[in-house]
Amino acid sequence: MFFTFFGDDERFINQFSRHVGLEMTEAKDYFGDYALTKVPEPETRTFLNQLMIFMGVLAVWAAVFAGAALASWYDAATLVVSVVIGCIILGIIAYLTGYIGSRTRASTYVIFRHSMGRGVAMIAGLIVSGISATIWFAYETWLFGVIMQGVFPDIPFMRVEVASIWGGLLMMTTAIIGYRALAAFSYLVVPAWFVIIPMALAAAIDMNGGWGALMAAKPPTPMDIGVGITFTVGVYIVGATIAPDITRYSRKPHDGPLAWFIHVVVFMPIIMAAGGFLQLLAPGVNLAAAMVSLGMVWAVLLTGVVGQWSTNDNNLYSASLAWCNAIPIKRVYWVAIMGIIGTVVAALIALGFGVSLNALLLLGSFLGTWIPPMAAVMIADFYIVKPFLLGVKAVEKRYEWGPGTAYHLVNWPAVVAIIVGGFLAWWIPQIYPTVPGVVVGFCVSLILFILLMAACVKLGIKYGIGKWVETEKGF
Amino acid sequence: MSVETNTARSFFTKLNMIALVLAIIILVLSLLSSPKAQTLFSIYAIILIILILVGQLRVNRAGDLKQVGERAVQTLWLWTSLGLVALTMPPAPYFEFSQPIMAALIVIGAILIIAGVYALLRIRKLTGVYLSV
Repeated sequence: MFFTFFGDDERFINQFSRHVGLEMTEAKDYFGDYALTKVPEPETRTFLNQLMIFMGVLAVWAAVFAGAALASWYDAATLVVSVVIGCIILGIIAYLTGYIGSRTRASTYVIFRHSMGRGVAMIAGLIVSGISATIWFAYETWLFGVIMQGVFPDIPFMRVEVASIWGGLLMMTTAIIGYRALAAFSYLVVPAWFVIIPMALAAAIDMNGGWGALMAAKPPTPMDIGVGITFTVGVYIVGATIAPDITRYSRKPHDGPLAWFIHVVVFMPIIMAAGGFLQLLAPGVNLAAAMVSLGMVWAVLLTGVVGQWSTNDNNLYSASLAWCNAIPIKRVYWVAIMGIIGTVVAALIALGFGVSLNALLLLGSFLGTWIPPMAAVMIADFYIVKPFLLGVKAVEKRYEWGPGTAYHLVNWPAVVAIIVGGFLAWWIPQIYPTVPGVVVGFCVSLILFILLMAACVKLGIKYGIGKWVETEKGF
Repeated sequence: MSVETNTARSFFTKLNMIALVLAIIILVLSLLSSPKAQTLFSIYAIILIILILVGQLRVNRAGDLKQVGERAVQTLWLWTSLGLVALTMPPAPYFEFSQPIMAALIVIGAILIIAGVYALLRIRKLTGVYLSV
């Protein structure tokens, strides 16, 4: 690996690669689970496989609780409409990002290399997943402990801090094995989860006045529908951005993206409505508590344990891919390192030893505002800049990898677009709470990146700074 | 059609038919229960039956060993997972199941899971496809 700090254009970089004898070839899978290399054809998986993994990520109590938050703003019909519109927006974004993954068979962070530059891809990967996903891993692990103690309050092994530790270690196992384990576990969990939750919702609605009462229920503080749409998009925009981590295993180019679209447009509204409907009928009662009161203790335990697990192992998996792209250590070691850190943090939150849950979530949310602009740059680069500004029309030629591939170290238009869009996404909601900051950040970054790249290409300004040549291991 | 393909398909069909019978029993038991259980557990049983039948149809139409293996594994995962519903939901007092029906449903759930896991491992061995297909 080596790099220099002299700006140059893409054509020169490719000539440079050939000059030094580093022709692009297939890299060996040194880091495990094709973290930095293309997923080979025999390892690709079916549409149902991809759908199950995505639904496994969605199968989590936090998604139900997110739906409950909407109930203070909307009646049942408006709640469904706002969630469905938000989910369609998410579906479109993830279809575009996911298609890049399934076409290139590379992870999100490796894809970043072309649009942002190799150096920026390292940092962006850590913001998107390396740090953010580890924070969410710690949070979900702590939440797992809370659910365990809630269901079995008298068993010492189920105390929040103890359950957080064994739960965190349990969730690490599938992430350590990798994609195969994520898929198999999702197959086992998802069908049951998505039958139990609607059954429980129907029972809870029946016990709290029925469908008639639900349709007549009014929210305490009505809000404009746009706020709900933004909220829904914000809940899962990170998932939409990192869709290529999974769709790179897609057998056909449209399988993975379509699986993402279907899971978010069909199943996410059901899960969020489950939380929202019950909150409308019985304010202050969450679905898990309602299930316990209906005697569905084993179902709560099952959905709590396996649901948290099937989501959290994906957090850790994506985090490990991002860390591999930044620091060249094998993926399993990164899973172990970040998993242990996340588990310790979860236990410390439970014990109240100096780790503030609010501070952690604030950091996670702050980092989250910078993620949609990164998705925007990735989408703009692949679908607009490469074919229409740089003339790489063939889809399979737009992004190429392998030992000897040369990248810019920094693509400055991408950095400017991300910083401006990310700042707006963070700042606007503080000044104008009803304006969708995440959506504004995404759109501004998308347009700004295209304009800057167009200006660079037309005026002959160098948009890339420095060079980085991919090593035999794909780093 | 190779011998291996026929062996795998015939093994899958046997296990799938057992699952179909169990799903039909769940449907009958739910119809004999309280109105609260009738609706929800009938829908659950019908979903189970549809998945089993669609899976059988797909495996019957599969052309080679790999395709038989992949489609069989997918179907087996689906009904194995849905066995968890029959195992965990009937004890809830909300459904007002009588003791014998509740016990029967739990046993059926357990059989679905055990038979499913066994069939998955066997199909994996017979066809060589991944369980994470």
